[in-house]
Amino acid sequence: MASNVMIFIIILGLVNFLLRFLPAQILNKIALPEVVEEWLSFIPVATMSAIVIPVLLKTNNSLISFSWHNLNLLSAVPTVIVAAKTRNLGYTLATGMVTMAVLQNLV
Amino acid sequence: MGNKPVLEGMKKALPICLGYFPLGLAFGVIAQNTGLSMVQVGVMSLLVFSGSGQFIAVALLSLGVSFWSIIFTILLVNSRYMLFSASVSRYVKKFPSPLVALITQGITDETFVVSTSYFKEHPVNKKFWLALNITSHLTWISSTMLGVAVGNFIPDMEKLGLNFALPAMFIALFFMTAENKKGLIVGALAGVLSVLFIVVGLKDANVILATVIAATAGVMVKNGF
Repeated sequence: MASNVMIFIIILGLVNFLLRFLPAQILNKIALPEVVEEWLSFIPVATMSAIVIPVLLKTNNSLISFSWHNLNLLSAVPTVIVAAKTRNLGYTLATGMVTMAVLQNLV
Repeated sequence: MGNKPVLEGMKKALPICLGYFPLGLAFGVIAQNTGLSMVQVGVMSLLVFSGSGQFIAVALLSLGVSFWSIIFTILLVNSRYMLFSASVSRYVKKFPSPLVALITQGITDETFVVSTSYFKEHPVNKKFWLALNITSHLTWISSTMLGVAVGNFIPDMEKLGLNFALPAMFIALFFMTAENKKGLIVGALAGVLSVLFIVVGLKDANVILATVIAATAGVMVKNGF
């Protein structure tokens, strides 16, 4: 079992390596059309949002929750303000974690 | 001097590491509870280097899901790395393949955003890039292994606000990558679509589908369709 898990981990690693390596390696030999470059420029912002929005809305009980019991959503409020104003990873992280810690200890 | 880009890269990695540390610790604790050894966790963090991917892998392992379905799920969840990789292709044109391999192995949501925003204002520098990626990667590997070591001794993570490290990181990355109003609108659309796809049951493919559709909509609007 243990060696099986190790083989699984190595295959998983290989899959992730190819995902990360192949596009950069293949596409750097050719010039991409402008419209594709444009499309790629939207990818990061779209990805971040697609990952985080469901996390903020989800609670243990439901997929979408706009209630006061949704601490993720509450913590997001000051976090979004700081992120939008500073665009700084460190400040945003600190704001989010401190807010969450305070809320967790209140309820 | 020669090491300035290295130091700069490490400096830019610092906030990333600040986020990875609690996350990695949490992952190690969960992986240990699932029965993974410290070596297995270390190798996984070295090769897979993906917070979301690793959390999902361990969750599915504990449910007894088959190895191949786990691999397929992670392929879907992490397919965004292909898009990141495609968009850094313009920065690696002059690099030999082994260096491209080394750099791209360090691509995560966080290192990708920090490096590409840096290269918008500075010339592309391999030392900076490697220092940024490797510092983040080493922090990830060591914090996940530490998580296995401390296992059950760790206090309630929620009380420390650690469970909000990941969402906070993505909120920051969102605003760092939203260059203008159009970027914000494309992002908002992706967020709504992502939730919608989860609601209809596509909970593994939601990120990639929402991203691709929102980016396509952004290009179409930009070109006046």
